[in-house]
Amino acid sequence: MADRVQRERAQQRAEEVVEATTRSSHAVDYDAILDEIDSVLESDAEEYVRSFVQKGGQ
Amino acid sequence: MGIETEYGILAPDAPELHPTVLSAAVVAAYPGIATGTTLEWDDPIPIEDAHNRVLANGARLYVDHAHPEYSGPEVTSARAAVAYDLAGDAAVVAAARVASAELGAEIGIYKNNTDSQGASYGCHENHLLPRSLPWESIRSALPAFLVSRAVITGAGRVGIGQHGERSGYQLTQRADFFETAEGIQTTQRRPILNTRDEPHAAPSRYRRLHVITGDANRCPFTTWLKAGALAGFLACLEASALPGLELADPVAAFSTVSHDTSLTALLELADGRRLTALDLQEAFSEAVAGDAVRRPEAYEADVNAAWAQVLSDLRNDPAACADRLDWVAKRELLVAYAVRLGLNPDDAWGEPRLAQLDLAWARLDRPGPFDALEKAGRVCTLVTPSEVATAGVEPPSDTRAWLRGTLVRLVPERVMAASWDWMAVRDTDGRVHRLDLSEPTGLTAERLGPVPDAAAVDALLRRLA
Repeated sequence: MADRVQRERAQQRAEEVVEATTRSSHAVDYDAILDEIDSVLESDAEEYVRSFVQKGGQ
Repeated sequence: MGIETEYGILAPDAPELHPTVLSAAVVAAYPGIATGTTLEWDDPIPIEDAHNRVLANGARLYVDHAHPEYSGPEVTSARAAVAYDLAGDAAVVAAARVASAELGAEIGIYKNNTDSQGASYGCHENHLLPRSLPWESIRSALPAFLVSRAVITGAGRVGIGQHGERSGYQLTQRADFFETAEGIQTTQRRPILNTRDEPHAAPSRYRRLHVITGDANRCPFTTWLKAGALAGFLACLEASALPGLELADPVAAFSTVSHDTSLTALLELADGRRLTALDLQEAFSEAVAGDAVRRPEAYEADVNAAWAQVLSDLRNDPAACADRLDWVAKRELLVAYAVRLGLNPDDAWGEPRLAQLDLAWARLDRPGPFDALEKAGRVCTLVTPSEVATAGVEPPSDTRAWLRGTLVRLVPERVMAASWDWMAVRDTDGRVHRLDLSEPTGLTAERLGPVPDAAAVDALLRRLA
């Protein structure tokens, strides 16, 4: 019984660690990347997207 | 094989300049070694013909339908296709930088395939096939492969429909622009199977398969697998080792696959079976792996392994492919961005800031989100920057592009004309030699031997006469 509880707790801890690591690596990564690109995005997104007009090609 | 890319082009500060003029300025401004161009604006030659240059790496840089286009040189491996594809991006960006300075207006270069306002432009793949392979067998086998591979080759797109009239995220840039099953045209009513067959080689021996369904990709891995898996599929087709899988309606299926980010949509086959795009790709990948056991020399083993791995990862958790596949990498970033903006990612796709990030992803001339991901080590790089730099100035050594590129590199001013399968080059006495390059793997570095400098070119021309 005690063994099983311990095993389940260990398992739970492992899952928490995995989840936290995954979450934090994603969060840290994307936040840093989004910080970096904030400066290259135009302030008026709607106007920028509307003005991206191309001629048709192949 | 070879890849050709039409780039999006925009100069917001110079709206009076037609995109054909902008594209011509970019082609003319290419700062590397290349054949010349005509810059007479009142020249009777159409602007597109006047702006057609061959580069020292054997590629062609020209104006096509109001876009700058780069056609990479003929290569024999998927890895080389990636290096020359990235070299093309670098060439167009370098040219745009010079042209921007000359015009006094910043020219943006985009590696995507639609403006979501009704226009699409292509990234085409070319594969050389033996004439003995009947078109009938290509016609029955290829559509199911081209449609289902969107789960791998899609560049990802914010918006659904040719005008982005519905909000959503889809796998590909191109699918919404395909309206017919088969045809020779490429600019309207685009066909899944393009029948254009200019082999640029002896037509009695070769066919050129011109594939127009693909997206232009940013992830090198995606480009690699796009080129390598198609080459493997075709090798397997030649060996008659593919399973018989024909779609009932390839055009409808292409949209279905592209619009289904869950990868679970069932596609109806001609025989009534219903399979997902992943099912189809797995069947093709397994057939290729099976034939590769019998004929390893016909395949690239690392491509086959990577193909099977990606399909397995897509089956288990698509997000695991964020380091390899465009549509996944872009989606993960867009979702993170939506969360940061305080939006619910499930219904944020109509938000202009996400569409803007989609465009920024494709933009090559400024550091953007893709570069940030790459710098953070989250993108499989596949080829080194030095391999890409080399591919920008040297032709592949194992195809006829070697002769074409070598002559352009050594004596660009003496190349009077250059096409894929012939060239006209002047010697130092002023005599013009017409060279026959009709055999695609003919005039390689091995066949030609060393051609160290311009002084060696006269002897080479005499030898080839």
